[in-house]
Amino acid sequence: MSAPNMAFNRIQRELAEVAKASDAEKGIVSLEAKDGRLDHLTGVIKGPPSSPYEGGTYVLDIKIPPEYPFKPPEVKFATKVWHPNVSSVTGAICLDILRTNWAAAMTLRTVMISIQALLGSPVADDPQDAVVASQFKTNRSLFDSTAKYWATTYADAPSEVPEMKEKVAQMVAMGFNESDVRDTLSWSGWDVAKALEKLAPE
Amino acid sequence: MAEGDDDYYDCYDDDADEADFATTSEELNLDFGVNLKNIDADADPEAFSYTSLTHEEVKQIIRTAVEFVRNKLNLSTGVAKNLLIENRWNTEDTVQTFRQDEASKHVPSAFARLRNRTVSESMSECSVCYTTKTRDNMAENTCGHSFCASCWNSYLESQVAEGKGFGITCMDSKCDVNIGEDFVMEYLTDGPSLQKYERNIFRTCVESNPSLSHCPTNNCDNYFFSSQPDSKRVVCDKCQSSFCFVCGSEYHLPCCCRTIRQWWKKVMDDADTSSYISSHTKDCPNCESSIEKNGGCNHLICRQCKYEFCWVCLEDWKSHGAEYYVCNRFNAKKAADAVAAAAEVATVVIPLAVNKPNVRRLALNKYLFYLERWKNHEQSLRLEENLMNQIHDRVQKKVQNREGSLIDWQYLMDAGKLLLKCRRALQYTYPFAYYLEDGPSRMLFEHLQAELESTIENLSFTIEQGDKLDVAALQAQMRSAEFRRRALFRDAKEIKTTAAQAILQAAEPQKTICSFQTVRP
Ligand SMILES: [Zn+2]
Ligand SMILES: [Zn+2]
Ligand SMILES: [Zn+2]
Ligand SMILES: [Zn+2]
Ligand SMILES: [Zn+2]
Ligand SMILES: [Zn+2]
Ligand SMILES: [Zn+2]
Repeated sequence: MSAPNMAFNRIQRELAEVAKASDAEKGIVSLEAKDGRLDHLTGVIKGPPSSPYEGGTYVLDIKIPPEYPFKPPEVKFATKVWHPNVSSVTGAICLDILRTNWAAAMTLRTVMISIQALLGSPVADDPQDAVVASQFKTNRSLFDSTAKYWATTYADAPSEVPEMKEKVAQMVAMGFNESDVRDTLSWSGWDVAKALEKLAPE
Repeated sequence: MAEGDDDYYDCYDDDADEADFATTSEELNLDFGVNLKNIDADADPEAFSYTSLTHEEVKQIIRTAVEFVRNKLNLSTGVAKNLLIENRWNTEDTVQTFRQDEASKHVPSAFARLRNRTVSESMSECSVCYTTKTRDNMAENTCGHSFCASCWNSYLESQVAEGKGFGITCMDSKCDVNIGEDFVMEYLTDGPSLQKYERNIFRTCVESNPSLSHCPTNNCDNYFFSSQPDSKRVVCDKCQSSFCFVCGSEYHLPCCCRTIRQWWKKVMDDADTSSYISSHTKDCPNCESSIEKNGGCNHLICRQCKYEFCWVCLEDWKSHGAEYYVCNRFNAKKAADAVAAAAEVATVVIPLAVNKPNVRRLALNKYLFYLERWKNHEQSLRLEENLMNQIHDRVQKKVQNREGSLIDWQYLMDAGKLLLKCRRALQYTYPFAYYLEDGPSRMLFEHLQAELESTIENLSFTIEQGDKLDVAALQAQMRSAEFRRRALFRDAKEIKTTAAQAILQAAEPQKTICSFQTVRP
C-alpha cells in the first residue's frame, strides 16, 4: 500500500505545482485528475510556434503506474496528430524519457514540456509511425500541410488547408466515412485514386 | 599418460570425445597421438587451454581485480567494479581511462559535496517523494545526488525486479552515473531482491570479462578461465556439456561466433523453404529403386544394382576421388544455367522474366546447396555416434569373453573418435564457406575441405566394414584425416585473421564474413 500512497502524494503536489506555475507560456495549459482519480490524468499542451501544430490544442492521456515515480508514466496523445514520433492510429509516443531514460526525479511537467518540444522538432530517425516518418523525410512540404490539416481538423488550429479539405469533401460525397477518408488520404499521400483503392478494393 | 601426449595434454580433445560416446577414460585411454606425432609438428589448431573454476574462485578473481583498482584510484569497491565492467576487466585500461576523463563523473567536486552537506544539514526535502526528511534519512550517491533512503530502496527494488544489476543509474534526471554495489547493498533492504541483485551483477562480471566463461547448462554453476580466450571448445567437467568458450553456444569452429549466429538465424528463418531436405530416402540414380540411408557414410552402394554413388549429389562415386572431388563446391555457373533453363520454360507463361537473371532463385539455390551439406553431415554425425556406441558395446563384450585384448580393438575406437571429430568440423565448414567471398582464398579453403571430406568418407566406409578391416589401411586413413583436419583449420584461421586485418585497415567495417574475435552479445 505504501508505494501507491507515496505516488498519490507526489501526484497531488505535481498537480498543484503545474496549476500555480506560469507554464502557460511554455505551452502547458493544464494537468488535471480524471474523475478525481490520481492514477489517470489529462494533460493539455499547445502546439509550438512556427510549427505545423501552431495554434493547436493537444490533449494527453496520462496513466500513472503503481510503481510511479520509479517507473515512467504512460503517456499518449488523445488528440489525433500527424507526426513521425507519434502513431497516427493510436497516439502512442516515441520519446526516450518515457522509456529507458526516465529518472525518478523527473516530473509530469518535465514530460509535458518534452512532448511539446518533440512536436516542434521531430526525430525522423527514431520513428513511431513509419508512414509519417518516410513522408517527413521524402516530401517535407506535403508532410507540413498534412500536419497542418490534422491540426486544423483535430486540434482546433486556426490555419486552413483548402485543397486537402476539398479532396476530403469530394470523397465524402461519394459516400465514405469522413474520418476514414482523412486517414486514408493522408496515408496515401493525398492521391485520391490510391485512397479509393484502399477504401473500396474492387 | 603415455608419451607423445603433449599436444593433447591440456586441451579438451580426449575428454571431450570420450564424453561423446560415453566411455570411461581408464578403459580407453587412447593415444593416436603416437601415430600422428610425425606428420605434423605444429600444435593442433583446435587445441585450447583453459581451467575450470568454482563460483567461489570466480568471486575471488573478481575481488582481486576490484581491490587492485580500488587501491590504485582510491574509490569505493562499487565504483571500482563498475569501471572494471565498463573496461571489460582490463585493469590497465581502467586505471588509464579513469585518469583521463572519468574522474569528474565518479568523484563529486568538493563544492558539490559541500553544497549537499549544507543542504542536508538539518532537514531537507527528497525530490522524488516530496517529503521532508532528516539528514539521517537521506542517502548520497557518489555523484553527490541525495534522496531519501526509502526512495532509494523502492527504486533499487523496481530496477532489480526488471532484471538489472550493473547499469542502475542515479535517480536524478540529468545524472547517468551508475550506482555502485556497496551503495545497493546498503540501501536495498529486501532479502530476495538483494540476492537477485548479487546474481545479476555476478553474471555481468563474468560476461564482461573476456577471460571468463560460464557453463550454459541450467543450474550448472561451473566456470572457466583462459588466458588466451578464443571461440574454441570447452567441455564442462561437471555436466559434460560442450560449448564455445566465447559465445556459449554449440562449438562451431571454423566459423566464428558471429558467422554461426548469422547462419543459425538464416536456418531458423528459412525453415519452410528447406524442410524437404532432411529426407532419409532417395532413389538410386541408376536403377531408381528406393534407398534408405542408415549409416553415416555418404558413399552408398545400391543393393539392387550395386551402383556406387554419392548420397549428397547423387553422382557416380568414381567422381569423388580426392583429385576430382567437387561435391563440396557450389557451381554458380551450373546453377545459373539451370535457373536460366527453368526461366526459359517459364517465359511461355510469364514473358516478363525473359531478360532478368533470376537472382533470388540463384541465391536460394546457393543457400540450399550449403544447407543440404550442413544437414547431411549433422545427420551422418548422429548415425556415426550410434555406430561408435555399438562398436564400443561389442568391444566390451569381446573383452569380457576374452576374445582378444582391449588393445586389439582400440584402433577401431581411435578411428571412430577421429571420424566424429572430423565430421563435426566438416559440418561447420559449410556455413563458413557459405559466407566466404569468391576468390583465391575460397578456392584454397574448398580444396582443403574437399580433401578432408573425401578422406572422411573413406574412413567412415572403412569403419562401417567393422571387424574384418585392414588395420594398416585404417591407420593410413587416420593419419591422412588428422593431417587434413589441421590443414583446414589452419587455413580457416588465416582467412579470419586476414579478414580481421582488412576490417581494421578499412576505416569502417564492411560485410566481410568474420571478425577474428567476437564479443559476447
Ligand atoms: Zn524520498
Ligand atoms: Zn547522480
Ligand atoms: Zn556444466
Ligand atoms: Zn562462439
Ligand atoms: Zn540401383
Ligand atoms: Zn557428391
Ligand atoms: Zn562416405
